[in-house]
Amino acid sequence: MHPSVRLLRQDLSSIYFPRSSIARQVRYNSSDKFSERVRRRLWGTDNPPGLKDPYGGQGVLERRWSGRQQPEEAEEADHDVDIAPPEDYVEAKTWDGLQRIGHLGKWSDLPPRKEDTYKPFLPERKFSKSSKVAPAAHQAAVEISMMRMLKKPLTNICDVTDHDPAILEMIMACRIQPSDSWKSTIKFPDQRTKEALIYVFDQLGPQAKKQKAKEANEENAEVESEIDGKLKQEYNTTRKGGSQALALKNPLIKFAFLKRFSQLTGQRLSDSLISSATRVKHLVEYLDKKGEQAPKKLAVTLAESSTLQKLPNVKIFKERQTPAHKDREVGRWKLIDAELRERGLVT
Amino acid sequence: MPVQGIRTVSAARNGVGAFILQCKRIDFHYCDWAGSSRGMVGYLKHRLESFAKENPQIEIRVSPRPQKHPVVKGHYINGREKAICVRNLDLQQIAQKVNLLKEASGEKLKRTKKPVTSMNESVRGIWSPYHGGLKTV
Amino acid sequence: MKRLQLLRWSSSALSPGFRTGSRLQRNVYAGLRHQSSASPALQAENESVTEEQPPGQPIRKLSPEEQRLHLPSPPIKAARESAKLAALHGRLYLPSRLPLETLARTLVDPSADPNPNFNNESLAILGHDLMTYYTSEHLLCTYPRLPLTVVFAAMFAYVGPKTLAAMTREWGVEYAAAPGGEVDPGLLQFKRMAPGTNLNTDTAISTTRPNPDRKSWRHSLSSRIVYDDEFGDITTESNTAVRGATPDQASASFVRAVMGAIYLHAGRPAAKRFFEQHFLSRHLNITELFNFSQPARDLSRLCAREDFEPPVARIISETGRKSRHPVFVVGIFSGKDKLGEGAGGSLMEARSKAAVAALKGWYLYSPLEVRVPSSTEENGAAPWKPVHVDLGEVIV
Repeated sequence: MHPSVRLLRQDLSSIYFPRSSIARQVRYNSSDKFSERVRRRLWGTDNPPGLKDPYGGQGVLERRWSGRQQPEEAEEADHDVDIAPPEDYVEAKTWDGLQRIGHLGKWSDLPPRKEDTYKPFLPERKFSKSSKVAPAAHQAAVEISMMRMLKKPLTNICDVTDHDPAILEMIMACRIQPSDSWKSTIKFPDQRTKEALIYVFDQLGPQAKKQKAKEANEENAEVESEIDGKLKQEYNTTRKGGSQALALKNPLIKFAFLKRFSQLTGQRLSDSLISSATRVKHLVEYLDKKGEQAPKKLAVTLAESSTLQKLPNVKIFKERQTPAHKDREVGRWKLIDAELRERGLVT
Repeated sequence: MPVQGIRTVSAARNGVGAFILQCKRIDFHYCDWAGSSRGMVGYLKHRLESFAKENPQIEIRVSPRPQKHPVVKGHYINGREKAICVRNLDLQQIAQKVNLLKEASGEKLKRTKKPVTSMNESVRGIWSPYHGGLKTV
Repeated sequence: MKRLQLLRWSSSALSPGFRTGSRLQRNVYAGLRHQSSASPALQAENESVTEEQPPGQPIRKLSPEEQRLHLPSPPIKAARESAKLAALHGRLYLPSRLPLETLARTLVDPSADPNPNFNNESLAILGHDLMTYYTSEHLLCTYPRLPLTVVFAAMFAYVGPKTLAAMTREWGVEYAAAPGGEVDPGLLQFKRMAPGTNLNTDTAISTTRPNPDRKSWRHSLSSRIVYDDEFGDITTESNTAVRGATPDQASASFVRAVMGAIYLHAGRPAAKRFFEQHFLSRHLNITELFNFSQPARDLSRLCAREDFEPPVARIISETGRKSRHPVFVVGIFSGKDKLGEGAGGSLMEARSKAAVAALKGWYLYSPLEVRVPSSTEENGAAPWKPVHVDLGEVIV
């Protein structure tokens, strides 16, 4: 049979509209609505073509909200049905007569699935201050050493984005003894810490992943900031050992360290830097330098100039001045605001 | 009433007593990122201070205008404003433009045909055919 | 004479907290005005005010911006932050002893802020008196024979509200759309009138003028000098705090307040210099202020009074008497002296123009060296020599 003839024989609605929308229509039809009945009579069929309501269905927010409320599994099953071809589907050999090549529905019509959401490996915030970069290097070094000591895959540590504050404290309390081979580099402050850390790091792996992640999520940002200062102090006291002198010779260790380090700092490390760095020190120095070189806003520079600040006829704004700013300055804004409130346009 | 007074308003003669600079405000707009603002940023860093000190009668406002070319805008007492785009100009050229704005009166540019304009009457008076040297026919 | 303690005066003008006011009044305003003040004593006062409020109302802590929104005029400390105000100070070449805070206060009209500690009313009264005094002495000494109606018109032209409004514009002062604490203190703040307000409802201030309610009665010139204001108008007062002010009224009170502030902070010489530079330097052609109804009659009366020979009009020259555009040049002679000359399209026109020229020549007499009484106020000034005092205009 010629493909074009086959197309004609098919139910037209399945070509023009994705199956999911048909399913929704059927569901919708079951609810007896007057407009729906009229539509059915007008078209003379139980399956009138066209959108279920002429205004394009639910809005973006509504769709997202309803999608969030439905259970995940059901959604997934639904997609499988959507994507699966009909039973009488015959694969076309040529494109003659085909109105469209590929799936009849559009990918953008389908609701978002789990795979569609993108979660970056690097966190959004970047550390560039030296006060934060060096502790991150120390933490990464301790973690990699622990993983190496426990003979686990080194990059598994990257599954943990945030440690419990208590554990982080312990990690910071550890000292690093520089050695090229990364063997027995950690010096624990006491036996309890050692046992605790070994216990925690032993749990890392595929089976403990979910629980860990949950723990990490529960951590409060406030707690973190409180502890931050304490940690820095801790780090300063234990600095003498120096994780920065560690060598990055072994490619496996180097890769694991770089991965963890860039995850902690949020900084992307360039290839040239990776290939040239032989010690942890190089990475830390590079990031320190990069942080210093960040361009300063002109408004900040001018605000720092004491002579300009003393001049009474100069005014320096840090942000763009809009007509709204002018309205505020001449006192018109409060009139506009009052008028809008009176008319109920602003609450 | 033998004589009545006519109410008028005296006219200003700027510079006869006090001189009021006609440029009352200059706005400096720059972009932190774009290369066309390089000269402008340099001007604001190094020259603005001395300019502001020399001209205390001008209100100076500096504000960023991201993703746009740098602009110097003069506001005048007659209500008009003059804007000059200073993209890619260097420090010296911008200083010239700022000086131009400062010295402008804010009026539209026009050709002056007479070298002197005055509100006062001519000292010599208007020539009259009826006085002096009358010719009798 | 005792030296004036100008600094002490200016400090009291500068900080309204020092102003003598009743305790009650200060308490009422303390909650409003001193919220942003860093002074602990004032804050304590503020707290005591809030404690007295009924307990049912929840007291919400206001942010500094919101606090400013509740003020009727910008707070004192805002004056230092305003570039506009500093530029205005520089533009007028004001003395450095006049602080920005006082300049900010001159820009607040009583219609914006009815509190006399924060508006420019008191400064404006002082400035107004100074300006009218300096103007009138200048006019009377420069043109001793000027008729009084013309003096009134000249006063109006020099320091009238219309002139002051024009000066405000020429100084580059902009108007605020509505007064308030968040407004830039470099803008002129006043409450605007609602559209359609009747401007002629001002009530006359009670003067000693007899029968003030008889508005249709003729006001003689002498009574206008005695009872009315410096422009010969009936002194009125309008309730600007309720009704609002016109831009002209607000501008006038601003300029007067600047004058008063200069006098208060920088002293009399600075105030006089400011007056000469900004007011007397303005162009005013006094010859255009005359409006004669019957100049020929006035001239004959004048000549009779001054014992001149009676004026006679003679044709000096003429052209095209029979044509469509005749021109006659007529001179007015008193004996052998030519008093004035005028050219016109008809003999009558030429004669009246000649009479006007003769009268203006009389009235606009000006001594060669003009000295005003206030010039003797300076240290080491020459003693005052009496100037010419004229009989005044002719009475017909």
